Amino acid sequence: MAYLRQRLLHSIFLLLGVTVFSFALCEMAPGDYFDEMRMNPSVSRETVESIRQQYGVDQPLPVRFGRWVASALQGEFGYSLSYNSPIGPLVWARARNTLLLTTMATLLAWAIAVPLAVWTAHRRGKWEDRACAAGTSALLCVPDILVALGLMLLAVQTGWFPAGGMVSVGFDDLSFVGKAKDLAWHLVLPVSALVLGILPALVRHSRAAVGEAMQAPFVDAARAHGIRPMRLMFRHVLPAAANPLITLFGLTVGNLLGASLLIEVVMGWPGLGPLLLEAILARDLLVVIGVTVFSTFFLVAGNLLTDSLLFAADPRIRAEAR
Amino acid sequence: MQSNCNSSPELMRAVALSKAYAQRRGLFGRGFAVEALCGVDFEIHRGSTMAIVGESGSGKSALAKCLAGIETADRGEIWLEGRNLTAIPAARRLAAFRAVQLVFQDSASSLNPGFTAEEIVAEPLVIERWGTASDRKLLALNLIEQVGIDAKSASRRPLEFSGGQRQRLAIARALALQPKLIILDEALSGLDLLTRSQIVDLLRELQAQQGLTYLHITHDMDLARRWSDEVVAMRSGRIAERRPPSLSHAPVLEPELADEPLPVRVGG
Amino acid sequence: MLQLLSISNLSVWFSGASGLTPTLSSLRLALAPGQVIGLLGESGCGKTTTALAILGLLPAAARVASGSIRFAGRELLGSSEAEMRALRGAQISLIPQEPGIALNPVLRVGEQIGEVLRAHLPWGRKQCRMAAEEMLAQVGFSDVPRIYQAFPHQLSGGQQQRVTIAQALVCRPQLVIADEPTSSLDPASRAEILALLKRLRHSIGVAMLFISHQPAVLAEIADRVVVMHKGRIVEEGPTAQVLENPQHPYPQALLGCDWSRESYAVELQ
Repeated sequence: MAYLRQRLLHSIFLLLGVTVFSFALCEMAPGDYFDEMRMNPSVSRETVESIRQQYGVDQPLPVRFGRWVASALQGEFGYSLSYNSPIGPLVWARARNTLLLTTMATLLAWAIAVPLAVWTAHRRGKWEDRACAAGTSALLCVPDILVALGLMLLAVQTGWFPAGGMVSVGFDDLSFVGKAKDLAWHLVLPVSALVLGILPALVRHSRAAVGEAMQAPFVDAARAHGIRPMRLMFRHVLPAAANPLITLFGLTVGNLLGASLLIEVVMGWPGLGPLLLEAILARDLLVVIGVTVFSTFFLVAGNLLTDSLLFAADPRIRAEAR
Repeated sequence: MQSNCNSSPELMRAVALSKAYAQRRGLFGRGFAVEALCGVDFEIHRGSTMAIVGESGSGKSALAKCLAGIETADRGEIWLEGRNLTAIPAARRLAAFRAVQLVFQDSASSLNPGFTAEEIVAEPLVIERWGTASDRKLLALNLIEQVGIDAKSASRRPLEFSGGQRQRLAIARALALQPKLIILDEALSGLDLLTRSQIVDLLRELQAQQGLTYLHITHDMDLARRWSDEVVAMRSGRIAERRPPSLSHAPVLEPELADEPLPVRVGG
Repeated sequence: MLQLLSISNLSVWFSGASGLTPTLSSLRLALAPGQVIGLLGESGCGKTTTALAILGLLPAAARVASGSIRFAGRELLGSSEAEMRALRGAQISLIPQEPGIALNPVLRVGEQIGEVLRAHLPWGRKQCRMAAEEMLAQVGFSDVPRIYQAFPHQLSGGQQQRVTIAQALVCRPQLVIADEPTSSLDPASRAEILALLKRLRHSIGVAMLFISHQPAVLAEIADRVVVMHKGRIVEEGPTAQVLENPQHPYPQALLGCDWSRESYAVELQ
């Protein structure tokens, strides 16, 4: 348990460090929200300056940081100038949508990857294994944006799926079941695009981990004891392959908020992606910082989860930690 | 077997060598020290062969690493041909230890599997920036022939050789810098009997030709008796006794008790 | 008397980069119930191939060109994989060379013994556990509950080998193939393991095919010794006869290099 407390402490320091660092970087970038206004000839300089003072944008960096931290502790994480609302609730609402998308995609990708990896490792060298390797290579080569656009084209040409968005018009009038169906219908394309993006790397890494565990001498020894292939795979090989798989899982959890940015923008999914993009373009820096901190939180939580799972699953890690 | 013990000059002397390895429980846990060497004194004469025997945890490998300069002893001195190596500042120390070379136990993992045999043997020369590339290649091929491997196989990778051949390559590599002392850390363990015998013959031949000195570490008492001028037994980081081989009959040391857990830690 | 294991005219070829190479040539071997035969030879002589052929675990690159392997009256070559699986661990088992890598690092040692039981017997968890603990006691562990829960990396080399011996014997097989079980151990553990195997051999009455490149080890435990060289048997006979007075030049050269010879010559008397 001391080991986990240690990791928790590390995680907190990491989160604080990233927060300070991103704040500093963002604020050091030239320009601010009011630059566009300044370029507008009908607005006088004094007006711009007074507005800037009003929003506290002209204060020195540490002061702004201090105020931001105070705001963060209240759950507001500053105030968005373009959306005219506290950032905390704004980011959280969008993050929920993103999480819905990415969680489904991640679970689905893992549910496909691990069985596929086990099956192709079992059929090592045969045509199934090679076909799978060729397939994943091909998918890896195709850029995500092409996949997304291709799916959108499919939607538009066939009309089977909605071409973007999260909900249909009149969503609020539907019954609960109706809402669920509508949401599911809208989820199909973005989830498919995401899964196709995540899957190749997952399959390859899983296949490598299972393949390597299968080559281990203790598997030959177990075979010499007459243990049946199914039990051999699930009771002996997979637990030994768990270590790299858990690490990979932690990485995918950490990536839950970031993976879908492109897909969301292309397919019009109202998640963090479009929010972040707009904020950057409008130089609404506090929104950018808010999104960064949220994403980092997930990354750090993912790391912590990995460490805990590894600690539970691999006795060699428990031994090292002692 | 001729005893070279006291007639030839002293090559290396170790004085009160001590080394402890620090370990810790977790990042914030209490530290404790494992004392690998506790005040080891001995000397070895030029042209002789010394066998060091002992069980795992007796400090044999720690001693080998300190004598070869791979690790630095916490206390004590190492003198090579009248020069105090431990007094040399760290930056130039490794160069001074060049005259001492190591051959390890597991040849499959001590030879880089990505290099060819020739590259492996030539590597020390490359590191010392000796000669031109063709000079190095020539010397490497010479050394490979000298240890009994056909120079035509010099472009093969280690895993294509047998265990015995790999050890010969490791010996060739050790010879590259014309060392005075070769330390063999369990280098003959796990080899077939015939192969082991052939390699001992090879080493004896090289010793006669080049006046090499050997320090070999082993847990095989029969090997120690058969091939040494003096047998040194180590226990718990100290030298327990030294005898000429004819008087060394097993068992010198008590066997381990059956159910004991892994090495006892010395608190610190 | 019916031989327990009877190998006749066994030839195995390996297909590799340079075509087909003969690994075993016309091998003939017979083992009676309860007998211990030592297979002496250096690396590459075909000892391990023989073991794998008996167990039906030859790699894909190996081809059995001819011959037969009969176990308890049954022909093994040509048996289905399911039939061989039923035999492995239950009737014929293997003690591996390096116990450290032959044990699964993430499973508890006691459970790994239990796995062998579950593969062959319809027992429940509790029964398997009890049998595993009993076997651990038989191989000489005194603190059985602690060892049952231990992971392989928490045990010493000698202890790990005792666990693999427990795995091999827990289903009371008739034949155990010991593949250089003491080669990776230090002398103290080696003596311990040999003593254990001798004791178990008598108490359980199991026959052994003991593979080793060290004559000293075979001197202690084998009734007969078979010397192999480049895939053929070059000499065989009672242990004392082969190790003290070999007729063939290869074992003569081999034993000439064995510096432990004085110590076991005394034992063989």
